[in-house]
Amino acid sequence: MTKAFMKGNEAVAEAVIRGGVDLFAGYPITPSSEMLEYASDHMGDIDAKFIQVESELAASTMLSAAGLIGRRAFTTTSGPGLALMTENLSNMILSRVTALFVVVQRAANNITPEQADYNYATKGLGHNGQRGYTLAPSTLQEAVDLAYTALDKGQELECPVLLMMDGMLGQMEEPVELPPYKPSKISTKLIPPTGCKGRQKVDSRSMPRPRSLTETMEDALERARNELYQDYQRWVDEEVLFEEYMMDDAEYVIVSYGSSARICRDAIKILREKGHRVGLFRLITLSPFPEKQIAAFKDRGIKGVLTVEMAMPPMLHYDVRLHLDQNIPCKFYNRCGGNIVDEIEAAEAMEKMIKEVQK
Amino acid sequence: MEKSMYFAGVGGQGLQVLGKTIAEVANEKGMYVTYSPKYGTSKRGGLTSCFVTISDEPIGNPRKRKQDLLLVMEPKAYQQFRHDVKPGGVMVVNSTLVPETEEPDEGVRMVKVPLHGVCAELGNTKVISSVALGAVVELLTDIFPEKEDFREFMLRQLSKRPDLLELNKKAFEAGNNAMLENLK
Repeated sequence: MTKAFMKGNEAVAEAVIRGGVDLFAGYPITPSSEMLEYASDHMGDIDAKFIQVESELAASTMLSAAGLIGRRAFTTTSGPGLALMTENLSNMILSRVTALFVVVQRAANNITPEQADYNYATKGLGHNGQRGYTLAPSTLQEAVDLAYTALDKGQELECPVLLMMDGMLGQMEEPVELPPYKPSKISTKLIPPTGCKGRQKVDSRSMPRPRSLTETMEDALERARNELYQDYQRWVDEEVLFEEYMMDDAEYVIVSYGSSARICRDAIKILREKGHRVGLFRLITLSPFPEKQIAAFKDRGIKGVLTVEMAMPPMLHYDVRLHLDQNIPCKFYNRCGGNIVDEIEAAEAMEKMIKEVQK
Repeated sequence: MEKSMYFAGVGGQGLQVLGKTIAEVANEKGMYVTYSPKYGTSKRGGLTSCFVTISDEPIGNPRKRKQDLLLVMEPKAYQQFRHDVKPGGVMVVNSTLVPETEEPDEGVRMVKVPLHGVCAELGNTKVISSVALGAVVELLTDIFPEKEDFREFMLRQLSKRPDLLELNKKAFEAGNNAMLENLK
């Protein structure tokens, strides 16, 4: 069967719709607008609601409200819009409410691709510094597959899900195989703050109440925060996704994600042709971060690591350095401002490091 | 086998349609293919271009720096991208709008085809994408031996506009003939 040849933004919207969703609320922003346009045409296919709202804040408020009653909702935006959604993201994560945010990253004031929202998406969504579940596809097929199950994952983990695309992935076209339609489902875990018909009224989890006469307000909050932290630790063990390419005999590794990583596949081919034993470690989940896998580079005999991303200052780079053995040299090759990384330059950066290590 | 192509010009020259058609046909043939457009905020007159990559294995960078096939439609694109062709690659220059060219880089074959001139003969500049398609497919016979596939795809796309069918058919043929003449 011929695969569908679709634009990234449209393919992701179609995948979320096929995965089962009840509401789209969004505000257009380049380079993500096609997703909103596509949703406006196709949310009706599954009898779901589409609302083009007056602002990003309103979009995230609606997503938050949908999540609070256990329904599934998604929106799409880019960095400047994501910043405006922060208020609700902070609250959603504390209330353990899910929704899908597809972020098609761009270079701030320019509409060209970048990966500069990494820190925002992984270091804490808004105030309180809690983390969501953050995914980064590198091909459109992967974007479709991740978007299809993102809300299932969100309901399972009880947190907002961020699908981090970038301008290049959103705008490019590639053949994709679309999954079949499946129905939306109402979260059974979630307890609404004011009680719904047939369900018990309890207090919101963003403001946890003492469970006993001896537990203070402070204790209750501390307990809730600790629970969130323990969940994150569990994700690190159980929910991390990554892909390795030519890593079996690798002595040097490129660590990258998203569209930078697909470009690095070409860099690996260039370096392998020259006889260097180089592999690619590609993150699929940015949060939880594959800290254990990065730490294990030492035992695998890795002699040097190069991180590649489209952002300045480097962001992924410092996460890798944090978990990598401190004796392994770790350099970065980054481009930004809408200039995409280049496989030839990445290969040169790696060769330079290999020379330094071998000296 | 991987073939990277870059079509560059200004808005309104049919480059996105051209790139998309080649990519869609490659997809129908079951090949790995990516199409990556690049344009600014202006709809008409601004620099616009698209990258098409076709391969028999998964594609890494969809926007290669060096091309196997480069098409430049106008002088600014020619000046900016003329060194972006691999040795052994081909650069097609729209000689109607880029009459003066310099020696191409070593190992690069330059073919000058008056694409807008062909349009003028047909009396309609709107069919520029069909003319360009007819011209470019002549250089893609290594991956698409059947030129007919493209013509058939184009006609299928136009099935809802029968009034435009005949004109585009003619444009495709004229573009193809112009390329054949200049390839000699």
